[in-house]
Amino acid sequence: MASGGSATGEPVEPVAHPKRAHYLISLGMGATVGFVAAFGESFYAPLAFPVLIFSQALFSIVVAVAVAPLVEEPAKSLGLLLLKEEEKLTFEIADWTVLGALSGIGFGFMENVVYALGVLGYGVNVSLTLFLMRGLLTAPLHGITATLTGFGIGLWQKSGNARLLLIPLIAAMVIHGSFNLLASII
Amino acid sequence: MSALWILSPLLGVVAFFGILFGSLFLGGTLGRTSGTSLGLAGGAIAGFIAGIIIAIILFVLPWYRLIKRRNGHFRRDRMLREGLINYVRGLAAERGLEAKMTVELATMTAIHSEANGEEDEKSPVLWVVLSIITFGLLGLYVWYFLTKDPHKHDVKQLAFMQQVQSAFSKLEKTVVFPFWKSLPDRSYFLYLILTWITGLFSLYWNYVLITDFNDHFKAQWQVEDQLLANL
Repeated sequence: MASGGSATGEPVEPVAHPKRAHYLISLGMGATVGFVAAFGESFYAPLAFPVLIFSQALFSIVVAVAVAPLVEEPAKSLGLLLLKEEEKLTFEIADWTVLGALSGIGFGFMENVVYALGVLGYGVNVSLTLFLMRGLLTAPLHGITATLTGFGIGLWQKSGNARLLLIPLIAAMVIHGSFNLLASII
Repeated sequence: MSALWILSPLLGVVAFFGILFGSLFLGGTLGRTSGTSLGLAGGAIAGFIAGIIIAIILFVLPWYRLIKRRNGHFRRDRMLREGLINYVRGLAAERGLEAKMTVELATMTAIHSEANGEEDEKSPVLWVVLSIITFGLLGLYVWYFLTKDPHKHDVKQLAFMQQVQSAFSKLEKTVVFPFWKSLPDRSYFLYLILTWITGLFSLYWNYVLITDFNDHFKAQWQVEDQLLANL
């Protein structure tokens, strides 16, 4: 591994910048973790059932605005967390931010692929249009929010205070939730 | 860590439904007064978000603290074992007793190496995040290692301290260890099934997760006091 401990017992050299493998891990984990997030969301959604007592239309809005950001934002940073916590890699804040952006782009890309495949029955044109439309809107959103989380992980590593991760993570959730609210209203 | 932490997840459930229903009623009332549905929508969204965030925090905070405490204790014990091995080795060499001390030193080193290999650090943030995004499914593994690790660690630490006692007696240092009752080897699957069937058994499970390590700490404090007096 890149940061690696040394077998000879020499002091561990901190990695100044991520290697190609780390970028790939972030992108790949971002892309695949969407399936885990979808699994988690399916369990959180029933918690919003009390809303159905008051309004049926509100249920899907609550799920989109609250549940999706709550599960997807931490999920997107999973690759980065593995690099930091399991591989014990140390990067600069800017590097973590770039890794975060990549994980968001991977997540957004895979989400769009799944949505496009879902409407393939309506024709290739519809599927491609949806893919491109979502590519222009939601992929950048996921990129931006995951960039914030990556920045938070960088802050956490630099300061050693895990609470500093919470502020950018909550900001990312608020942006994601606001986007979903606007999309639901429009 | 206080055993009262077992109430944290319960409070989470109460807080979630309390906040959600409170906001829905409040939003509905405001909406009727103003004649729009915005009040109800706002109440539902704000109530759900606030309720779920508070509930998640109350659910995972005890786990976060337990994992952090486990890591901290394992790290501390690693240093203690290393220090004791070096101390015994150094004193034995000084007094020309190395030959008499080989069994104790070999056993202490073996236990130390085994513990170093098994007692790995688990990232509290990573496991909390994994538990949140999978709706607690991976939390089952958190429960597993928090249930199993205290017993395994306790057995190793007790065996190590017995070797320290034997080595100290050969060095003409009398260390009287207090009675160290081993922590019970709890059955993860039995606890899981009982929690699944009754739900409320999770309260007891969380209680033993907290108190097992508390008991281990208390026993170790007494041993360390005895050791310090003889150094």
